[in-house]
Amino acid sequence: MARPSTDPVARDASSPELRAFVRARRRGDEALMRSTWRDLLASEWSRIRAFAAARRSPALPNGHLTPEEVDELAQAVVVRLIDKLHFEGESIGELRAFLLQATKYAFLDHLRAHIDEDRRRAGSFDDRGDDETPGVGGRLDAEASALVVDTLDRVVDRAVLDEAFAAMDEDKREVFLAMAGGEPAAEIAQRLGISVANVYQRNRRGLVQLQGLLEDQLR
Amino acid sequence: MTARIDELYEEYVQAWHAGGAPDAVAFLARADSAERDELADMLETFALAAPAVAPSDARRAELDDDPAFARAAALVDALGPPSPEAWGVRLRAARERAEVSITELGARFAASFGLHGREERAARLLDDLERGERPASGVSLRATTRLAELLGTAAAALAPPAPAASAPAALFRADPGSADELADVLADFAASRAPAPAAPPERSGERDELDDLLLGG
Repeated sequence: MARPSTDPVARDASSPELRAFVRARRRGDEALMRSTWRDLLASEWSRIRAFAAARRSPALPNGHLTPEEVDELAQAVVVRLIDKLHFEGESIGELRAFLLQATKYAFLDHLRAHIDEDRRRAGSFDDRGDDETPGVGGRLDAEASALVVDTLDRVVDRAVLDEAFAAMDEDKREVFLAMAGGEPAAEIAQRLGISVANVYQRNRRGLVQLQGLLEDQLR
Repeated sequence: MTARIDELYEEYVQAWHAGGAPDAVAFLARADSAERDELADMLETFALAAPAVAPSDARRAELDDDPAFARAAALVDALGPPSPEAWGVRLRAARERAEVSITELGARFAASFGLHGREERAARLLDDLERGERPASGVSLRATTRLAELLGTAAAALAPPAPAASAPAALFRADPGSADELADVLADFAASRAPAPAAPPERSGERDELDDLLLGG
């Protein structure tokens, strides 16, 4: 197998599935659009599942979605992808942004439905809490409000990612980019003269830092 | 134990680049419960930055046999045109198949959310949506799911229209539009999904759960 690129987003501009879909869309070829759309879904399925599986909330039993709920959430994202927005972007960055956003909104819908069920079962379920201790509903409102200020086209496009990468600490960035690009930890360790455990540690810290930097972009 | 999630992360990333289309759910199931959230964050952050990699032929065959992916792919095949009117067409088709009047559907819909006394208004809003007089973009997922339950039809897609009744319009817009237009579409979409009032209330000063459910909260 060819050695993977050490830049995890280096192949952004060359998603053949997205390019094929955009070409079909431009030509108005419905049959081709359907087939390319399916290919695009296949290539993005792991991303959709990763975004869905990462969702959690104190409103849920055990705080997590069940595998069945992850399935439902993924379906909801696909519905949004096709039906709600009829995705018009042309880059993977735009698609990534849309998928993450759609997952968050679908998750909020799921939580609200879950709270509806609690209300029905409990009769009077005060989920708002108070100023000092917001209830589940209050936290949901806060989360939803945070989404309002989000704009889809700037979440994780290449420029935003580059900016976030540039802001990372150098040692963490080097390891994160190498590992996210598919380089085995053992090879990174040998190349940098550090232990594999240290590679893992820097990578994890890099992920946390990148997550924080990207979240800052959303505020 | 942290080495375990580091190894899982590395395995996930390598599988991604190799076209293995790894499933985060399966990887999270292999993590220690105490470290599951940390691994979930790691996988999400990677997915935010990761390139698109088409599944290998072998993985693609597995995906086609995966019920969850098969359902999602079926949505692609089944969903009608994306215009707001199309959702109304599908709703009407599902309602007619179920032989439920719009008045009855409104009553059942309102009752299912405990919105007593709002049955007539629910019926009116649903009628407007069916006729494309209100944008379907404001219809929440839970409203869609509930309507599908009430009509005994597929949840996510709200059942596609029958082929004979299927609108022949393009599934996707033929013109991708300019960057500015795209930005407008994205902004409109964000606004339509926002919990703050985005759609004008039917009666000034009054918004209730029906608005959230059917017009965009």
